[in-house]
Amino acid sequence: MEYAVVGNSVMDTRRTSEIMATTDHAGAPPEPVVEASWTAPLDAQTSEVRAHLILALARVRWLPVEAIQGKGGDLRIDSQEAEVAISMLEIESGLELAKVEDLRRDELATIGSLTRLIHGKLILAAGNVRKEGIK
Amino acid sequence: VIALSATNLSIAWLEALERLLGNEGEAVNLVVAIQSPGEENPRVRSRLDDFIARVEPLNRERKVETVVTVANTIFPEALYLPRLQERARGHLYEMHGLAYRVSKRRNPYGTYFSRLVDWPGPQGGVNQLEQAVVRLAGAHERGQRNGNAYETQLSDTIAYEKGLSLPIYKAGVDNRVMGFPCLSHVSLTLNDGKVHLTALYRNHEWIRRAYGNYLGLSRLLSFVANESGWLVGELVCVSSHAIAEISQGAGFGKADIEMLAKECRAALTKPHASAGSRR
Repeated sequence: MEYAVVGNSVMDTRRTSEIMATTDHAGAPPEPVVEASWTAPLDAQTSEVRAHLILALARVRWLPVEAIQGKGGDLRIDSQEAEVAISMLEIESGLELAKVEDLRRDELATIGSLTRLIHGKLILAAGNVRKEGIK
Repeated sequence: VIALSATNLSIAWLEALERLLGNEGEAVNLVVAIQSPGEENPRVRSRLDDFIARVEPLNRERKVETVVTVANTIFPEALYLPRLQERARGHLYEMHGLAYRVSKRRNPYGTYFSRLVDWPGPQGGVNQLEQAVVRLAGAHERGQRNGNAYETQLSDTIAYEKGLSLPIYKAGVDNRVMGFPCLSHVSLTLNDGKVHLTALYRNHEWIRRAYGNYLGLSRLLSFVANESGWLVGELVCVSSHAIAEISQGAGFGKADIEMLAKECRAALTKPHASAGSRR
């Protein structure tokens, strides 16, 4: 069985059709907690942020990553899904990635807008670290 | 008292708005019964959302939000995946817990759903929604269509002979005169194979909150019924005080709200659709 590491959990990454063909029609349950794969480096590229948001969204929707990525283009998401994804990345990184003023509907509407928001926060955090002289 | 009964939530919201406008924009004890709460007319919601979109930039200091944003505070539908079957509730609670870490930054007093799944009891958080579902599902397994033999004692949730009572308001904690929580109580009643929901609001703002609240309560009722194996019954909402919000912000003039009501009435001539069919 294949799993994708998402946050501090893992999920079944089989295609939905494979999952639905099994006995319970609901996919395999998340496995026990494993070590997180990403520590959110402050110099993370947008592609890396996006990839981790896709992983988080796959966990929220309980779908394989390919089913999320396969849609192509920017992906519309619900604001609640966005909040879960932010939360997962915050737990992984130990950083606060959205303040109350960031939680606007337009910021949380797509994977693209959410990627820009979080990438911007990482750049900001990196700038603060440099100012404080901490590597 | 104003009391009315309507077939779906769009008609219910609109008829109540029209009654409020005919009553100087205000009512004490507005009682609205919705016979098929899972149904709505999306064009009515669109008209209201269009109005909200127009006035939101003019009222940044007030909480002016789309219908679905309001509904999400009662039931976060995007996080409930019925296809997960017996794991669906656990997934919902887990995902909501993660989302709430973030969303409470803009809702510092909490959300209605957080009160349902993490009620601040004396011994810590109580998931009174899960307790209600388990009790109703137990009644279903025993074939008790009127649910009058619940044997499990709920902690902070009040169980009575034929129903379940889910408090939202927390005495001693919720001391604000206005604002959260306006929804103070939710009751679930099992009767003749259907789960019925009654909600009590101490103050109901009809333009900014009421439609979204009806939608959220409808989704909550659908969740409870689906997870416990019963059919969806009636949704009744008692607003001990309700206002049409006339002159309560820029763009909230009496003529503006009357025009909104007229546009929604015109939209009602179009076909209905299921409330669960769009977010």
